[in-house]
Amino acid sequence: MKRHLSVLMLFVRSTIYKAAALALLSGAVEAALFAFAAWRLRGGPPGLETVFAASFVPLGSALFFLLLCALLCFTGCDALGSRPGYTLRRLRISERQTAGWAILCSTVCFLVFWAAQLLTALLLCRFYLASAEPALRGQTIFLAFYRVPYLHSLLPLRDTGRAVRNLALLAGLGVTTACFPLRQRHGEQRLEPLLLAAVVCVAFAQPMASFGSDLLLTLIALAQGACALFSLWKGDMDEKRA
Amino acid sequence: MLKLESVSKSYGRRQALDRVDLELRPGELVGLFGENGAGKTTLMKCILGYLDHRGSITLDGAPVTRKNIGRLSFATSEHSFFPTLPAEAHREFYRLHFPHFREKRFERLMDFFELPRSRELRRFSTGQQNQFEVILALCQGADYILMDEPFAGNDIFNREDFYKVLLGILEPGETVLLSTHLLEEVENFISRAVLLRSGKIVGDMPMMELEESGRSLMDFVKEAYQYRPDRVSRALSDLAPEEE
Repeated sequence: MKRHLSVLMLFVRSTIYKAAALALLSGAVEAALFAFAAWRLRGGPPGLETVFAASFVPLGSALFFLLLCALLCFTGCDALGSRPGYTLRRLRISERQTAGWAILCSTVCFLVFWAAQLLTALLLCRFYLASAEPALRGQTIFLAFYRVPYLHSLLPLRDTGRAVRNLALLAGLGVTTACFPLRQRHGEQRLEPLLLAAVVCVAFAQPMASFGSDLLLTLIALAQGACALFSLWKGDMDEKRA
Repeated sequence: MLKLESVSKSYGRRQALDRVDLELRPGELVGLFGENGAGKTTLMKCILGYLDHRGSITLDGAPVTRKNIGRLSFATSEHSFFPTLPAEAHREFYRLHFPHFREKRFERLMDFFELPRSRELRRFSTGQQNQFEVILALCQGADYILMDEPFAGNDIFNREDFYKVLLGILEPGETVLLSTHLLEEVENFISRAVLLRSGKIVGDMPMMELEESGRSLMDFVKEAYQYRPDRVSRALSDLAPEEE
C-alpha cells in the first residue's frame, strides 16, 4: 500500500498546490470583476442578481477552469526537461493502477476548484448584501442561486438533474485530464480533455430546469471519460501482449 | 544474462533496428557507439520495454516484464526523475519501489557530488541533473544499468570524476551498457565495444582483444564504419573556387 500511496503523493505534490493557488487567484479575480460590476451599476436599481448578471465572473471562472485543465493535463507529461514516465513504467505498480491514482488526484483538484468557486460566489453575495441590501440577506442569496444560471449551476440546490450533470462533469474531467499524460507517454495525443473543457466553458451556466442541455452534457462527459478509460485499458492490454 | 535475439524496430518506413543480436553478461562494462540515428537509444528503449519491437529480449531466460524490470535501471540525458521532487524524496520513492535500493551508495554519491538534498530537481543545473540521474540509476539496485548519453552537458572534469567513481563502486555482478559519443574518454573504462550503424551491429569487440592487436577504439570504429580519411580533403578540394 505504501508504494501506491507514494505514487499518489507524486501526483498530489505536483498538482494540488498549483490547483489551490489557481483557485485562490480565480477568487481574487472574480471578486475584482464583481466589485467592478457593482461599481458600474451604482445608482441604478440595486439587486444581487442584476450585478451578477452584469459581471464577468462566469467568464473569469471559465478562464481559470481552462488553466486548471491545462495544468492537470500537462503535469506529468513527458516534457519540460524530464520524462518521469520512464521511471513510472519501471515500477511494479501497473500503469493502470498509476492512472487510478492520477484520476483520483485530478478529480480532487476539480473538486477543490469547484469548492473555491462556490465559496467565492457565496462570499461575494454576502458581502454585496451586507453593504447594499442588508434587509434581504438570506432569501436573496437563496433566490439568486435559483435564478442566476451561473450560481444555479455551481450549486443546483434541489435540481437533481443539474447535480448529476455536475458529478458526471467532475468524473469525466478527472478521468480525461489524468489519462492525457499517460497516453502522451505512449505517443498518443488525445483531445478528450480539450473537447470536454471547451464544452464545459460554453455550456456550464444554464438556467434552472434545462433538462435537455443537462442530459447532453452528462452524456458527453461520461462518453469522454469512458473513451479515455477504454484507451487506457487498451494500452495496458497492448503492453501485456507486447 | 541480458539477451537480444533478432530485435527489429521500425518507425514507419524507417528501420531503426535491424535484427540485432546482443548478449550482455554479468559484470561487463559495454560501450555502445554509433552516429546519431544509429539506433542506440531505440535499442535501450526496446530493452526496457518502452517501445514495441519484433524479436526477443530476455533477462536470464525470462522476458522483461513488470516482475523483473526492476533489475534494469536507466539513466538518460532526457532525464527520468520527477522534476518537482527534491533528491531526498526521490530516495524515499526509490527505496519503496526498488527493494534492492543501495542506500549507502546513494549517500556517498550525493556527498561526493555535493548535490543539494532538499532542492527540487528542476532547480538543479543541467550538470547536477545529469549527475543525479546517474546516481539514481546506479543506486536502484539493478543488475543491468543502461546509460544513454548520461553526461551530455557535463564538463570534462565532471565526466572524468564520474568514470573513476563508477569504476570504484561497481560490484562484480553489475553490468553497464553505456551509450556515448565520447570514445576516447571511455576507452580505458569499458571492457567491450559494440558499434551500431543504421540499426545493425557492425562491430562487437572486447577491449582486451583490441589492445592486444595494438589498435585504439577510434581505429576500430573507423574500420567498422569504413571511414575514408581523405573524405574531408576531397570535399574541400571540390568546394575550392576554380582558378580562372
